[in-house]
Amino acid sequence: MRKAEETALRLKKVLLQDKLNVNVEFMQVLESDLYNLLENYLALKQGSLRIKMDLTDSGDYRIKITADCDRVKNIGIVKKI
Amino acid sequence: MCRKIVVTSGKGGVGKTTVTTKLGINLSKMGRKVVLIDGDVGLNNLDVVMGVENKVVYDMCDVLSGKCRIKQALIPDLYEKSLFVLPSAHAYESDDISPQGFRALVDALSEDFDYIIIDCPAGIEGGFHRAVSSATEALVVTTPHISSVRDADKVLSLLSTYNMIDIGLVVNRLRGDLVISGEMMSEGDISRLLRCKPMGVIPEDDLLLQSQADRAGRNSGCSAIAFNLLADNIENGNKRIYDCTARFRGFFSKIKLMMRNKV
Repeated sequence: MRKAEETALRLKKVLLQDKLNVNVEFMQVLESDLYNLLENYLALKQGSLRIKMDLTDSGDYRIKITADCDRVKNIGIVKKI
Repeated sequence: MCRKIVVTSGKGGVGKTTVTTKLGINLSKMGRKVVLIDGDVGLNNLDVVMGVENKVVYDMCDVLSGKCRIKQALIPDLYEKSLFVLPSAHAYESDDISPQGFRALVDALSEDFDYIIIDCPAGIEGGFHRAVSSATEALVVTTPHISSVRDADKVLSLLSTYNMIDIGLVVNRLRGDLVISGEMMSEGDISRLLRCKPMGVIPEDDLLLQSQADRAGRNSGCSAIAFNLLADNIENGNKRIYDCTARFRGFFSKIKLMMRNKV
């Protein structure tokens, strides 16, 4: 492998590693807001909400959200007349 | 309408001040009225690079503290009639200038100029945010070295939080011979890694260093052509990038490269 390619690969790893270091407070706020949003529709089990953030090879964030819930809340939907 | 461009990088010593001055010179040669503002308080050098350090009477800090009017602090360039420099102060510290005051100064100048180019200080502290918040466009300068590209990536992610009309990348000090031999990343590699379009590529040029040393402020090397293309891209929206490898692709150039690798 040429030196330029090695440097580019090394740099890509460094940049991806930097991007993965997301602020802890940011994750806490995201978790809190998502919990409040999902609670409008689902009866979530306490402490079951998990958010996992990874990076794809192209540098995009991939977010996986998992949660356990007891039941779906009965929300009335108004039909269009 | 006035275009306010901040030239930033994150890492120091990559060529922000050089890009600021050369861009300003080339835009003024195109007939535009340009003012260069030194955004670095305390470690300012724009006046020295432009060769006008002996003409500084008032500076940006004097304007903001009310000691003089803006026009009294503007220094006309030695060669271009429509190019001016607003120097910063060496004795003050960065915290002495408020972001609101700096922005008001830039807005006041925007009425009389076509381009305001702000030479951003190195780093991502208060001085960086003060300079960036006053601009509407950004040029991120980097060199093809890992540390510089890494810092440029950090700067680009910070710039994404501001309302920038346009953000462009300038790759400085590129060695065409090393790109051809595979020892240095090309501007395409860097642009793909940073996910930012290249606005200009400036080759490594000894004549550029010499022109700064003798305070002439002008140079005629290959970098002059590259800066001209950069200014043309910004003024006319073209996408012509200087090819640093062109002069190393001939038959005799290849022999030179082979001889160099063997030594």
